[in-house]
Amino acid sequence: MLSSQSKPQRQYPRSHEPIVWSLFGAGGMVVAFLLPAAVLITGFIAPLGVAELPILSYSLALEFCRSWWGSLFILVCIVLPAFHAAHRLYHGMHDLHLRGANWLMLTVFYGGASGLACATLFYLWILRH
Amino acid sequence: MNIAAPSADIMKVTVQRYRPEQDNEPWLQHYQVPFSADTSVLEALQHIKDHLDPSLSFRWSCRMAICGSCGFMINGVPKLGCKAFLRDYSELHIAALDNFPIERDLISDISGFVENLETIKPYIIRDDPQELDTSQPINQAFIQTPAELSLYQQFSQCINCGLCYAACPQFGRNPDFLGPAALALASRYNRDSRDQGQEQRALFLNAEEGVWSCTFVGYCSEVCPKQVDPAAAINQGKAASTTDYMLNLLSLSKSGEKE
Amino acid sequence: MTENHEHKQTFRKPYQHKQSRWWWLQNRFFTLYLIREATAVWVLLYCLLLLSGLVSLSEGEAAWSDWLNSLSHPAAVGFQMIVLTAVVYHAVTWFKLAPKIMVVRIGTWTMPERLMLIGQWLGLLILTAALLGLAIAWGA
Ligand code: SF4
Ligand code: FES
Repeated sequence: MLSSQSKPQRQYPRSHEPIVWSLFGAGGMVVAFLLPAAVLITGFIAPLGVAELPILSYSLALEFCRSWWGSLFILVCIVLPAFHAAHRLYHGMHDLHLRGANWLMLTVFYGGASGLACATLFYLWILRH
Repeated sequence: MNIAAPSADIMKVTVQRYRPEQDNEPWLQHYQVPFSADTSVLEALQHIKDHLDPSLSFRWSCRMAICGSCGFMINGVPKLGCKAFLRDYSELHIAALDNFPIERDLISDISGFVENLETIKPYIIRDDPQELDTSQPINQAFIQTPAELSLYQQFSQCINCGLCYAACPQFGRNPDFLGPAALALASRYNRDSRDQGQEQRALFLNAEEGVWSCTFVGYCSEVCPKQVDPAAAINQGKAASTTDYMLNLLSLSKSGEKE
Repeated sequence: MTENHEHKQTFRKPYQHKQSRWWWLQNRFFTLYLIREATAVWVLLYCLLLLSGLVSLSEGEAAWSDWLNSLSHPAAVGFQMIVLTAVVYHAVTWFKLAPKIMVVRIGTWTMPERLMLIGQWLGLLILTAALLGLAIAWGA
C-alpha cells in the first residue's frame, strides 16, 4: 500500500537552472554557427597566410573593435561560448564524480565565466578611450 | 541460418546471480543453452530454470514486449528479454538492470521508479473535480481531435519497463532524479487537451529533481523499446520550464509559488 | 502503513548499485557523450585566446603584432586545429539534438528532423562563407 498521506511530503524547490541553461543554449548556438569561421580565421587563414586579411592590421582591427557592431560581435563570440563551456564543465564535474561543495562549483564555473565576461567588457571599453 | 529446421546450436550464457540469503554481492554463473533461430533471451532463461537450475529468478509475463517486466542488461545494453534473440549474439551475458537495487538474481527493485511515476500525477486533472466524480453518471464527453491526440500519443506508448532508467547515468548518479519515463509521462498529460494539471505538475518539473537533472545524454531514447523518446520530452520540458521561470520572474505565472 | 500492522520479519537484502566513476567508459554512447561535453574545455581555452587578442590590441601596435605572430607558432596552430575539431564535433551533436528541443509545428504538420538538420548545416555553411568573405574583403 503506497498511501501518499502517510509519507512525508517531499519538497521540490524551483531550480534556477533556467538562467544558466538559457546562456548555455545561446552559447551553444554561437559555438556551432560562429566559432568555426572564427577559428578558421585566427587558426588557419591568418597564421598560414592563406589569404590577405587587412582587417587584422592594427588600425582596422582597432576600428572594428571600436564600432558598436564590431564590439557586439566580439562580445557574443567570447561571453556566450564562455557561459556555454562553464555550464558543461559544471555538469561534467558532477558526471566525473569530481564534485565539491555546490557553492564552490558555482563560484568556480559560473563565477569564472562572469569574470571572463567582465574582462571582455572592460577591454572593449578601454579600446574606446 | 536455416530458419525452418530446429538447430542444435549451443550458446554459452553467463548470468549474474545474487541470492540475498547467501551472497553479499552478485557473481556470475555459466550455462550452456541450446537455441534455434527463434529463441529469445527470455526463453533461454526459461530453459535454464526448467532444465538446468530451478533456483534462477527473473521476471516476465507477456512474452511479447508489452508488459515491460523482462528488462535485463543484455551484453551491457538494457533490453527486453522477450524482444532480444540469441541468433543476434555469439555469446550472452545477462545481468539485472543497471541503476536499480538488485532484489534477487535478475530481479530489480523498481519501487523508486514507481514512486517517481506516482509523483508526477499521471492522470487527467480537471480544475472542477466534479467533472471527474466517478460516483456520478458521466454526463459529459471530453472530445479530442486526432491532431490533439498526435501531440502526446508518442509519449503515451510507455510500458514502464525501466530500460531508460538503466540507461540513464544521471539517474545512476542521483536516484532522486524523477527520470526519463516519469518525465515523459508528465509531458504526456501536460500535452493532453483534456488535462488542466500543468500548474500542479510544474512544481516537480521545475525542480532540480525534475527536468533539470538531465544533461541530454540521450541513451534513454536509444534503448526505449517503444520509441517514446523520453529525452525529447524532457528537453522540451526544459524549454517550457524556462518560459515558466521567466514568466514567474515577471510575476505573470503562479506555478511553483505555492508552498 | 507501519503502525497498525504487526511486525513481520523480512529477509530482504537488496544489493545497492553504485555508479562507477568510470561509467562513461562502459559503452560507446557514453564515451561519445563525454567527448561532446569535453569540447567545452577547448571552447573555453579558445575564449581565452580571443580575450588575449583583445588585451594585446588595447596595449598598442607592438603588442598586437606580437599576438598575431604568436598565432603562427606551431603549438598555436596545433591548438587551434584541436579547437576546430572540437567546435565541429559540437556542431554535429548540437544540430542533431536541437530539433528534439525546438519542434516546429505548423498546424498539424511537424517539420521532420531531417529537414531541420539539413537547414542547420546549410545555415552554418552560408554563415561561415559569408563571415570568411567579409573578413577577407574588409578594407581590401
Ligand atoms: S520510456 Fe521507453 S524505456 Fe522508458 S520505461 Fe517507458 S517504454 Fe521503457
Ligand atoms: S515478458 Fe512482457 S515485455 Fe518481455
